[in-house]
Amino acid sequence: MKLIWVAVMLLVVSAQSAAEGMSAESNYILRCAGCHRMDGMGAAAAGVPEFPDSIGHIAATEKGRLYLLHVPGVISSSLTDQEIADVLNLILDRWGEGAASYFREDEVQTLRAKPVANVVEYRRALVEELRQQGIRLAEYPW
Amino acid sequence: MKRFTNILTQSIDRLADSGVRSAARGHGRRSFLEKTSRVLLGAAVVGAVLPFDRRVNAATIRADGDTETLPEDICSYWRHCALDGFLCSTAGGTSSSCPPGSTVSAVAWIGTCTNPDDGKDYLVSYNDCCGKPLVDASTYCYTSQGERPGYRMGLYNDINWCMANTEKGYHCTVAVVVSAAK
Repeated sequence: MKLIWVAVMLLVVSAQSAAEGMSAESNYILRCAGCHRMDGMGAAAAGVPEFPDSIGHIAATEKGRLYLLHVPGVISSSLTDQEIADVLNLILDRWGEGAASYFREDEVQTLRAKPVANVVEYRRALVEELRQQGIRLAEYPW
Repeated sequence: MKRFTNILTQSIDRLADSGVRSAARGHGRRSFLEKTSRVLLGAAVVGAVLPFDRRVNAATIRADGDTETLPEDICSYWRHCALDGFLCSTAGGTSSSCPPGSTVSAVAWIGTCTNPDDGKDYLVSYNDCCGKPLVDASTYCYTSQGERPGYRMGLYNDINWCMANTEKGYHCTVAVVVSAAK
């Protein structure tokens, strides 16, 4: 009986380790693409803005980088700081148009630790700030 | 007596001869072939045109003559490991395509399932099909492996994924392999 439990626990551990340590590509598909979609075009009607001509502008500002680390799907992703950095950098590679620098693990750690009380209000302030600079972000109903 | 027998056999010969000739005139070989070919051609055309259920043909026929349910029609099929919904394959579609008249959801829940055939993990997209009412007879599955409560938003799948579509009514769910998990 003990042997069976050991076998079961080994299976559970191996299943967990299989889920962990995925590539940025797999983490994007598993944790982001359901809403942001494989082509990064999101679904504006459901409150998921598109990446192109938007994510690069956001990540090009300090305020925007803090916002990205407090997007609910990012902060609750259960990924490590390095994994989050890798997924964000993959998104920047694909849809950032070279506008922003890459995220590093230590930066992700620092930004996640900073409190953002109301992420929707914070985003509105960011949108307004960019609008005054002549940058319009993708449609977002909130 | 011998003469009577000759007359009788000659009469039978004549009768048989005229009967056969008459039959040959009325039912020539060409006539037979023509009728047979009509039947065969008709069967071929009708067979191809009439609607039929591919899934019935695809079902495995067991030794006892009963048909077995297709693997993708049951909740324990490996690709359904994280599914919460009604199987499209039991609602007029397949496990990877929406039933006619419904549209695939723009957004989806994505899970990880292990394929027992090769022991590898795959990322499976559970898209809802939208714009038609539920099919009462379709199979409901609640496997939801890896799902977490609502406060873990990204891992919560009690959501109508038709929300981003014009037609928001939920019909059924498909399970499409996106890629290998690596």
